[in-house]
Amino acid sequence: MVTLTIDGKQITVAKGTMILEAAEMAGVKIPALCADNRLIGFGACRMCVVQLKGRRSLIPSCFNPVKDGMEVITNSPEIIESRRGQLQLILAEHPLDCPVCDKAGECQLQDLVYEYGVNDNPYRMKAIKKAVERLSPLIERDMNRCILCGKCVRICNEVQGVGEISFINRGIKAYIGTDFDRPMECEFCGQCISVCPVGALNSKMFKYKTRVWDLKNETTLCPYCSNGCTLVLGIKDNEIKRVTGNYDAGINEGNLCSKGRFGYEFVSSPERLKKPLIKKDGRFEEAGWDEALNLAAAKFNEIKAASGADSIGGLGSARLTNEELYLFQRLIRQGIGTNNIDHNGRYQGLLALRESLGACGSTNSLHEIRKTKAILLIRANLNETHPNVRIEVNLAVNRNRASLIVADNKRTLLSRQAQANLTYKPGTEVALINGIINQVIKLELADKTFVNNKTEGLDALQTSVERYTPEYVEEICGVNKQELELAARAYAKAEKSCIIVATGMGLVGNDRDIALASSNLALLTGNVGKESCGVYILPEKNNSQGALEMGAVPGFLPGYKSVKKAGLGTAEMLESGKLKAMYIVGENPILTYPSSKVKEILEKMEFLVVQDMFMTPTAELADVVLPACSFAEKDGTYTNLEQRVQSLKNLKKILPCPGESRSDLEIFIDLCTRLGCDVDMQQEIKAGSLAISSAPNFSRDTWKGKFIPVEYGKDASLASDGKLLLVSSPSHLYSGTLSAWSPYLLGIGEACIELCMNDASRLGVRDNNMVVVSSKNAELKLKARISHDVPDGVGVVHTYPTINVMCLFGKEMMPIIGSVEQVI
Amino acid sequence: MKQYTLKVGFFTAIIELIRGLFVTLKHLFMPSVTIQYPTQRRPVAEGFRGLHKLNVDKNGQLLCVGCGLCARHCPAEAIKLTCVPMDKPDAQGCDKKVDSYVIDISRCIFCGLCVDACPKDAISMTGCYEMSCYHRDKMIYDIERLTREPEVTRYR
Repeated sequence: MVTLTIDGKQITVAKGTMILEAAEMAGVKIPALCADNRLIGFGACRMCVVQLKGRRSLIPSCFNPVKDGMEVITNSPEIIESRRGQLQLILAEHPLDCPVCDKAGECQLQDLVYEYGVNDNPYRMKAIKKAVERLSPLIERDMNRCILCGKCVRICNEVQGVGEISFINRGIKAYIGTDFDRPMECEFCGQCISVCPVGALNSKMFKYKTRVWDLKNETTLCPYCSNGCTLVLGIKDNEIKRVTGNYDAGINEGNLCSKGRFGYEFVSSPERLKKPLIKKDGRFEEAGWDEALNLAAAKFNEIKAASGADSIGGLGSARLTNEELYLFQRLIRQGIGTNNIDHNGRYQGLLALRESLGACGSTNSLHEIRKTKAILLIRANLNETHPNVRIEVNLAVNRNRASLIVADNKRTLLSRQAQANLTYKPGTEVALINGIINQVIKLELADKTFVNNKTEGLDALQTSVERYTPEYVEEICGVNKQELELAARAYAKAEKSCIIVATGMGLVGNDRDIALASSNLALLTGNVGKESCGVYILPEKNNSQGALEMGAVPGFLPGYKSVKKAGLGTAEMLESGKLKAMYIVGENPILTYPSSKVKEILEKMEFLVVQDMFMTPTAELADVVLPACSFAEKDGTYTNLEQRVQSLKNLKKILPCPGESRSDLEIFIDLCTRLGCDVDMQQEIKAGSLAISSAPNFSRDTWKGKFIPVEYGKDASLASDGKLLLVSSPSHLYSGTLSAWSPYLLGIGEACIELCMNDASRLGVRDNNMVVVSSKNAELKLKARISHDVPDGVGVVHTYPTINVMCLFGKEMMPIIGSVEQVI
Repeated sequence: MKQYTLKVGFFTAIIELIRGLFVTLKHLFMPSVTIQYPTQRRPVAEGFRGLHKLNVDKNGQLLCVGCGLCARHCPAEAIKLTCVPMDKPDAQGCDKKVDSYVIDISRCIFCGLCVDACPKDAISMTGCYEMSCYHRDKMIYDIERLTREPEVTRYR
């Protein structure tokens, strides 16, 4: 610790802290245009100059670390004159088009010019007029306004790890741009827009919509992935105008991805359902709430009396709040009387950790990733699935010099930074992890004291992994020996290392086996139950974790209490045809479920109730459609991937629900009453929280991890005679339950099949050609993309909201052999 | 009158009467002060704060760039404006266009802060003070009504 004085205030800070940060802690404001809490000091703007007692020169405080006994002066006439001079130099080139600049009102330069009263400018120069880049989707770049602080370049490199933009040219000709001035082709997280201190980088969606001072900023949660980021919604005229992050609020430190930042249009979409609809003679007619709910309750009771309660099923969504999910499972279990309840999330990976580690879900918290020393990513294309977890990985690799091992069936964006790239043949994850375990045992890298004290069942694991020798693994997975040994050494030798596995509908592979094999590896190396270690199983949607805890699954009651007789899961409900009636809430299985038969099955249903915000293809088949509210218009809590329960903010007052739509909770309460199970909300919520708190807690002393050996079952040989092995790759747009209604967001991705050069030339396919992809399950027309990331003989199908590419794979969601033909 | 005459004297009374009538007579030949509104109107003073006007350039384009400072400064919240991006930037390189600009005159307190706030002199105040009407909808002034010369009701 270092003690120093800033403007007479004494403060003790950690060693290595910069003067600027120390001043912020001491409550002394030092102006800076190029500094950000998330970035390393850069010293581009020279606004943060301070004086040290006993030294004549001015020093920039953003990259000068503190020293013991330092006496810092931040406000002397000399400093102020220097800052004024600096602002005058910036203003010599900066156009004063504040009236048409969207940044006006929150522009840091504007504020500083006002604060320092710069109304004269001795520097006269004719600024070079630069073109405004308007070709990129979502982001507009006006280099005339740029002050070259480099924040956008640094956040793109340091935090996002993308490196799309950079400084181009030197001196007076310098500007921020892409290589050869092409339009941007990145993932459009918009982080560059958010850090820009002036109006050089603008969001096209927010452009000229309103002035920032008119916005009412409200903090709430992101409805997309399970990271649970905090959003700041800028609302005016009953409409969300923009979304920003806030460094001080939430776990995301103000970082947002493209979904969070640009995917808000669905809330104020004109296509939102406004009134309950009842199908009469094949056409929807508007109805009142009482009529619709009475009909639903009466029909459910009728079917229950006629063919038993087990002929009714409830399909919830992992996008509902915890309270709603709890009530939904009560509605199905008590109101209807069946255990046929599920949500359309792939949660086997999360549940598997209960068997081996006793924790359902990730074992450690999100910010611990950045302090770890080695990261093993298994089948986790984090750029697409969990962009903000990727930031943590990126920080660990770049700032903490962690070694990164990427095991995926193709090269991902993170592969560039990886120490070892294990590109395995699709579907062979388990063999690969077992191979690493084998290497760890062989190289004697296992943590013996941990294994002896804290685990059981090592012998079974040892015999099970014996046959996964590097040669065998090379034969199955196609990963060479050296890479495997390198990965095993990097993972096991590091003092802290963690494993990250992504789960979700758009990923192929056996989640349960992958999760168990990963936990075996973590246990063997003693990387469980410590800081910055552990196994992270990343759930897909914002409340996938909560849906499990709330018991919206056929096998568990809230708090993972087992049921007597498990009901039907999603797969049986949607494919067996056993059900007579269904209640689907916030899901669109026709476009998201890996089967092409769902439509037939749902059409055959006697009675179908769909509760959604939009008229989805599933809702079109329904007999009763109930309009629901969006995340911004209701109360509730979401549980994120580190099991943190965060609450939504109800913005109904400034963001009214369209038409008569109600929140899911209100609908469930109404329907519960009509189905004869009275609910008292206060008591319900109390019962729900009781159910959660009564879930088994494990204590540090008695906890024991279990090795559960998993075997690599099938022989996934590569497809021969012109066929390809198809795998899916989730896009950041997910299934489209929300993103399909955000037109701007849809513009930055497309459904396509990625092929490697060799396969493409063999099949006679060129870039951007339309091809027919067929497997034994389905046939699809997609665009072909030729890429260098995909290994030979593999076709990577990218998911997209409006096309159900998952139906190629069938409900097993395993890699499948398929053929690709060009259409002319 | 008789008593008054007796009190002050005959001649004094006559003189007073003539002096009084002289003022009347004098005013008979002076130009009249009464203005026959609405057929006659007083000229308004320079700097009078009447109905707003949106100024246009010589091509008939609005000078307003839609910065919203007028709406920001309006103490009565009478001004509302929305902007849209244009496909092509204009000669000045500005691609922002004012889509709608509405002043609710029934709310306006004619303080003139909008004119002071405007960085482009795009809004000014005219001498028009006749804004009463039979319907509240007529109190809402949009771009079209604000750019043309204010309507003055002529009776002759």
